[in-house]
Amino acid sequence: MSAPAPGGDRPPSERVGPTRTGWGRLSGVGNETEPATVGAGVKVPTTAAGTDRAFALLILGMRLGTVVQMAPSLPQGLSESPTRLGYLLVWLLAAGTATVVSVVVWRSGRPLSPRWYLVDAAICSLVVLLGLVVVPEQVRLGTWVGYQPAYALSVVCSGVAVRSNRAWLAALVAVVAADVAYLLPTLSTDTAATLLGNVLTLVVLAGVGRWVALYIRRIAEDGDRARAQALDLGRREEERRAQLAIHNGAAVIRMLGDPALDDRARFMLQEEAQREARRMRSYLRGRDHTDPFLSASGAAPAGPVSLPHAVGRVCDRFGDLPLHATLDLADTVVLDDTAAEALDHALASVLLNVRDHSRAETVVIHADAEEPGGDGAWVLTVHDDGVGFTPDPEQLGVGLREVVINQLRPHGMEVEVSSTPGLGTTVTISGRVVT
Amino acid sequence: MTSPASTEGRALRVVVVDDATVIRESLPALLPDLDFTGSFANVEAMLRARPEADVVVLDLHLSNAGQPNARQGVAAIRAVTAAGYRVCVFSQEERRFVLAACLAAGAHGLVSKAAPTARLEQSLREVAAGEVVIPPAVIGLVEVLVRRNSLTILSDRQRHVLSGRARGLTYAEMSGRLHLSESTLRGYWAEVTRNVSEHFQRTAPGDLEHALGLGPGDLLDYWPEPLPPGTPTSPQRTDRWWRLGRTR
Repeated sequence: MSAPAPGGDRPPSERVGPTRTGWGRLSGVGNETEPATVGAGVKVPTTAAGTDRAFALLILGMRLGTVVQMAPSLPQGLSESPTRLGYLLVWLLAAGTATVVSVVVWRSGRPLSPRWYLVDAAICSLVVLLGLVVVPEQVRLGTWVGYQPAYALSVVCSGVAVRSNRAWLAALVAVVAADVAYLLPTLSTDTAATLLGNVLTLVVLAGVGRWVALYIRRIAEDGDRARAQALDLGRREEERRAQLAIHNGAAVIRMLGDPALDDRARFMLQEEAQREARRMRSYLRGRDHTDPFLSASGAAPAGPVSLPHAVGRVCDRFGDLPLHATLDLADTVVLDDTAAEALDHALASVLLNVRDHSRAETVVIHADAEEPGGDGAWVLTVHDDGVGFTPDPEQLGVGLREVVINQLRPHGMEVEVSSTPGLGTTVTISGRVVT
Repeated sequence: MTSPASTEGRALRVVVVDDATVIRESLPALLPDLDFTGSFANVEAMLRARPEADVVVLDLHLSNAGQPNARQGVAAIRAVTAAGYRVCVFSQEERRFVLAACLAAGAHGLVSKAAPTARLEQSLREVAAGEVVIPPAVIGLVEVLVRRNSLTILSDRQRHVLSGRARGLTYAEMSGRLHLSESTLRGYWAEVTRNVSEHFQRTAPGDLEHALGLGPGDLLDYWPEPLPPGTPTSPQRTDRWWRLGRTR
């Protein structure tokens, strides 16, 4: 199973290669493990890592956007400031910090670390407090000459996705305190409401932004876990299909390699090897080997078959075993194609186990069913008087676990294995006729 | 006539009747604990010699180019049992209706020539002890007859034991499931096999065909005519059963 190529079905000119640099790294373009498109819609992956990239984009946009908004008022600020050089140095400190933060998040593809965010917030607080010196009091509120509140807002919003509640809260308190200190000299009855609104804007946007950021991150992490689970389930399913396709064949090949094999058993195993080879080829071609069209029989489905007929077909392939089949009591039970194919495969696996391990002198296959008019329950038992083993549900082999138990369960058949060392083994398969 | 012999203090006495020389000569070597008191190529020779025996090992197919008129199949079984011997059929025959017909003809045991030697010896001892040894294929057939109310005289316990044996369970396995001792279970099984043997000998083939879902006449090529109670066994009654080796 391979992942779709980046770019999907788009023409080659629009496809994106696996190299990830610059913008591609932030936008997710070029990530060969996740869907990405170019052109009209840049899609950031919805993974946790993609969410961090989205936050980085948000920070970059806010910080550089703030600098762009600050720039037109710089000449006016220089002319109105009591200390031109001081105003310029503080302005450069703010713009420089915003630029550095933007570059860092762009390159790393995620928000600042808690430590560097605290440094960013400390510089912001310094910029705001220095505003007391370099920004005239009458332009501190409501103008871009006094850019400090807007700058403080951009820094506070940059911290909504920081990965530490304590760092986020400490930075918020510091920046808000500096902002209050910066605006407090302008306090009057006319400005009180505006001033309070400015401070509350910092607190409310930071709080709501933080809540939304954490929620989005939680969704993304849940998504990541779901993807990982789906991937794991897919891998296990593929492993199970491979085991189903290969297990019996591997056992047949191993037994065929036994130089002590008698001619009759060798002939039977060669016939079985042909069947298993067809099953493996179906699997290698990517077809479902449980599909009767692609089954080991290689024949088109013959329609529903009676249970005795389905079991009898398997018994015929194991003529070298001391088999005794009594199937009369279940002659009213009819199985559909896929159930019969699964039972065929599972029963063959059981009998291969008997042939390979049991050293049985007698193998009895017995079928029983409710009388017509009952609930349709039927039971098939395979008993051997061989060496037996100590059954452990946690440590059943691939044959019993996958080829027998798990393969039959989807068809409504339950399997029970009981065995005692020295007394033999009984495999009981029970099902119900579906009308 | 065919009551079990007491073998206390001596080896089990066995006679083998088989047209294959290698079988007649190899069995004494393979079963050294048994006392082979005679070996014969056909039933007629054995009945002329009348050897002492606790059990007769009898092949079903005795007719060949050297003895084309030799009695065989159920006719041979009836002839030997009529002479007072207990018979254990030892054959490659696997058709379950033929094997059941052997029980109907009075055989006390059926053992496949593919069975391990130890099982043959065990079966011979059981037959000599008065038991009836029934192979798995015929046990399944018996279960069908019980389920379809052709054989109705079994008790619940006997039915449970029959059900276990039909599924291949050993006495040890059944003992754990039914909470009965192995010896008790063996006792139940002995009663079942005796009932089955008598049922086969007394039931008309038509009734069995009906119970088994066979067509009318399907058993005629195999089955001996049933014996009315008290009727002495006569080999002449089953002359046509020399055709037993014919395939259906």
